[in-house]
Amino acid sequence: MDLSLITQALPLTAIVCLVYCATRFEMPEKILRSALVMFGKTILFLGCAWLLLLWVSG
Amino acid sequence: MTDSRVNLRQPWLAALLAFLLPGLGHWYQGRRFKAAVFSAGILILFGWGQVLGEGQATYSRLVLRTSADSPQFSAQPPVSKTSYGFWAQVLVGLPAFPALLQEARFNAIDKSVGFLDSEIRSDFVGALIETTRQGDLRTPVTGTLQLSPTRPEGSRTVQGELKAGTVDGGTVSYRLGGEIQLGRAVFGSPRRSIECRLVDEAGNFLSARIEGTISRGFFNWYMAPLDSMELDRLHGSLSRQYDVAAVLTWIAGLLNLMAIWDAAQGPAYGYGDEDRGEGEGSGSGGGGSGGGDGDADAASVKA
Repeated sequence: MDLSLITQALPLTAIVCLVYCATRFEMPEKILRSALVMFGKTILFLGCAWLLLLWVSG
Repeated sequence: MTDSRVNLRQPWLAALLAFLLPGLGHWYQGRRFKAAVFSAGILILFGWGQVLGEGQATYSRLVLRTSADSPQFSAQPPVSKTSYGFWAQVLVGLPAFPALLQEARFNAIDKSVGFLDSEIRSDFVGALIETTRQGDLRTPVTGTLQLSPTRPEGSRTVQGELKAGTVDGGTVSYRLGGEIQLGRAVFGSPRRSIECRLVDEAGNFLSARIEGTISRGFFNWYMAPLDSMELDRLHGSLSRQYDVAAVLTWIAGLLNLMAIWDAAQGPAYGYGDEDRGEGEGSGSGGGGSGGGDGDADAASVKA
């Protein structure tokens, strides 16, 4: 696995989720909770897409 | 959406401050948590992109190089086109503004092209070119260059020497003189083009010259317009890391656009406790019925 997937994709996704959710809500708890959910969903989606591409190209 | 509990103060001023520096508008409004999130998140992304791109991921204009002649040797501003990515990068505000300043400096007529106003000492990377009957013979050379103008106020003719390393670990000196070809002072490359002829001890020209680059000062290349050859060099040396760097700076700018909107209009989906408020029966300014997290909330709040 390419190391940049972890060193770049994860922090980038975390920051995008946090900033995006901060523009949606005002309460810090709500922002953090929704950012965490969005981060999980995004990583799950990216992981599935990565596995699919790995399977297709294998 | 506007919630009565969110004090936007002067929304236009907050939006302007949010544009100038991520998080500053929210700080002005007293929304400290969001100010911290926006400033840290967006500035880290932008700075991260700048570091990955070795400081050259942000530039406002690109010079399309169509011939072998280096645009660095043109005193007139070279023909250039807008960098579309900069439209996103500039949304980060002040951190991207040096590119606009460098563009203004770049578009001025550069009197330093082919003119040396004071002594320079720099590392040199390039080639020694000897003109022979069979043609030009190029030998790669690296070393230390020292040049000074022949007149104290500066001149187009110079004198100096190049101390270059040899294969066996020794040092050889080349005496330089005559007219100098010196690249533009402001250009989006850490290396400045230079050409100069070799002379003998009596000052007579030899049938050889040096062509290469010397160091350019940080404030003369950082975020300055660059040419397609420099872009090719960056892609060659950094590979996809340079593309990632550019994308990170674009994303940072686009995220700040949402932050600017938030400073002017308030949070898009509401305060965040609408579903709780409904359950407890306590009203809120931006109230509405809530479902789950995220978009579901948005749909119901907007409804």
